[in-house]
Amino acid sequence: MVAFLAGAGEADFAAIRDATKTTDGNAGVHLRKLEDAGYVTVSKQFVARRPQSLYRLTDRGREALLTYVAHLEALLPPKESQS
Amino acid sequence: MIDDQARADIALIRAALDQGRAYATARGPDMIVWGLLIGAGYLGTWACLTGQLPLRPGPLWLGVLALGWIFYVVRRRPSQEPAPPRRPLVIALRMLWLGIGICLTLTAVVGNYRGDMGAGWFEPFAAGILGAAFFASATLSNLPWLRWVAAAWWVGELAAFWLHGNILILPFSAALYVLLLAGPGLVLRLRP
Repeated sequence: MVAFLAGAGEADFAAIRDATKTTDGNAGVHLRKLEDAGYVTVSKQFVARRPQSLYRLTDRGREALLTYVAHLEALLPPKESQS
Repeated sequence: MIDDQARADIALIRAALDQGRAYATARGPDMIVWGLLIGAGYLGTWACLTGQLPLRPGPLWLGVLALGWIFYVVRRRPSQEPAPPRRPLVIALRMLWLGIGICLTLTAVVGNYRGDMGAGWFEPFAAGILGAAFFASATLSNLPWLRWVAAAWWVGELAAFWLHGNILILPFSAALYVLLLAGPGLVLRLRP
């Protein structure tokens, strides 16, 4: 979810759910946790009279993703981690 | 074992980033609107020249182009919500299509003013330009299937040369814009 939002900039709930191939309930729980951790923000708006939640990655969330990727790359042999 | 898992996780993150980038690009309704408007313009011109519509093509096309640009400007009115962060690739893609739109509009308006449009050069020219735009968009938006749309435009370009001087180029061009501009625009809007 965090990586998808890093690429998208902003995405609605349905797009995040479909991208991560999960259910409404699952996606909702994870997004709430990310919001509680300060990694994403959510804004609600009406589009064609339907409520829509738009999620954005925060700077903290982006930092967390980069830190995680750095940890993963540190596990790789030296040549691979440079690619 | 651990490095295999790390590689798999990194690949998953890269795929999700690409997917997000593809989601962010090319979602607007502009392609649908322009495709339908220009398709209607060509059909209307055909109706004008065959006597079915009591209009001249010149004012019809001015109306079509004005509607398209009014829609474009109105959609970009500043909203009360702060704008989301835009990836450079998203900005590049929008500038590409804006530039294409300005180029084709100016060429059509000046060509029409000079009375050059009946010579049949504009249709192949526009089809070639749109093919190039879709080809570039396929890479910028990480949507490889757009290259097939580009190829279809280039086939349309060749067909337009073949139909040079034939009135059938008008309904043919209408079909091109509806199928290859509005069509991909609709697919992009409806995809998850």
